[in-house]
Amino acid sequence: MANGSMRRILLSGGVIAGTTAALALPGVASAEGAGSVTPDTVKPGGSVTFSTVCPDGVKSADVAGTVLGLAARIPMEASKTPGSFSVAVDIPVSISAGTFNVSIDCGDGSSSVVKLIVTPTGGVPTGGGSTARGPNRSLMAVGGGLLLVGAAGALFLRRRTV
Amino acid sequence: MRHRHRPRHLLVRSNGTWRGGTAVAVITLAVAGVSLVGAGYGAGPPPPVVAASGSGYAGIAGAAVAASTPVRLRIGAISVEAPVERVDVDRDGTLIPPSLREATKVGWYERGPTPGENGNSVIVGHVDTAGSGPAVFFRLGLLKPGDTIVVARRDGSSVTFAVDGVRLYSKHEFPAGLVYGPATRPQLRLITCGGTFDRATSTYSGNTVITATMVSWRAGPG
Repeated sequence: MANGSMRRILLSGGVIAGTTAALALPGVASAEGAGSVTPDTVKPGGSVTFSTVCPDGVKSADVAGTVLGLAARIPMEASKTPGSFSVAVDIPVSISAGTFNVSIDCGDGSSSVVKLIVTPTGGVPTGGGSTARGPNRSLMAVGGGLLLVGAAGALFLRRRTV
Repeated sequence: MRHRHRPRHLLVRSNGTWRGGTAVAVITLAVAGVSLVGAGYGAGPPPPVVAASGSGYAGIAGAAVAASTPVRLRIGAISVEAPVERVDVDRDGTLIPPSLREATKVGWYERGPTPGENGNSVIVGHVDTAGSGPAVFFRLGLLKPGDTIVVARRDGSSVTFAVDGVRLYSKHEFPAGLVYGPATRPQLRLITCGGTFDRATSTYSGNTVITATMVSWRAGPG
């Protein structure tokens, strides 16, 4: 008995080094850290892969996609390594930026939660351009016009006085 | 010699010399003209001085503190002292900074962690306005690794960060993971515009990104 739970903790501890979080949570805590998502940061419309390692003998696993605006149960594919499952998922373009806690559920009822950050799209529009590099033609045209007016006026007055 | 009284005697004395006002007017026109032509060429916002990413600060990172929204940002090295407001994404998912009309303010991305919590806290500000010159983050690219950034928070505390890196990224290659991604320590990301300005679309080609790590926390104002 002690052996069994020890093994589950060791399995789950494979991903998360800090054990305090895993040990502090009762119940499903034994599977905490078994799941992962790569990359853990994605733009709306991007693709991520969820993976998990389920206890021995588990034949299926799925991702609870509701929080992402996807199917409630997204089936995962079993990999060559026994107990390992993964699935690639396209994140909807319409999803709103934020941090999403996604549950990955093994067929035996154990589950783990992974954190996925959906970022704002593209860069940040942080400038109006008034100091931008490159010539500002309208500004130069106005300046040039003023110079011409000044020069013409000066010439006009000189001619008249000579 | 024909006389055109009206303009001549207002502008020129009878002995032919210019009246004071005339000289002032001509000089003013010349100076204004040269200034505008010069401004048209434009010096532009300073580009990042350090083209380095990664950690430039060797100190010990501060431990995370409880969440509290930022209210003021202070960066002594580039004389920034700015109120912080909350900013969010629009319907297209683009992060919208404070209004260009309030370009002295900076905006904290409210869907991310607050400064001092574990993770990347993001604060954005304009580099310049549409018509009236530099804005709050005009000199952001001049920051160097080790420069300190102080964020005052609503709970009265202040958190100090040290700059790790300063870098300009094309908007097509915006480093979303570096800016918004998870982090195991309290980090800060400051963002403004950089690169060249496209007048047709009114957008800059890139973003200057400052990466910084928390170094200390104070219960009162920093």
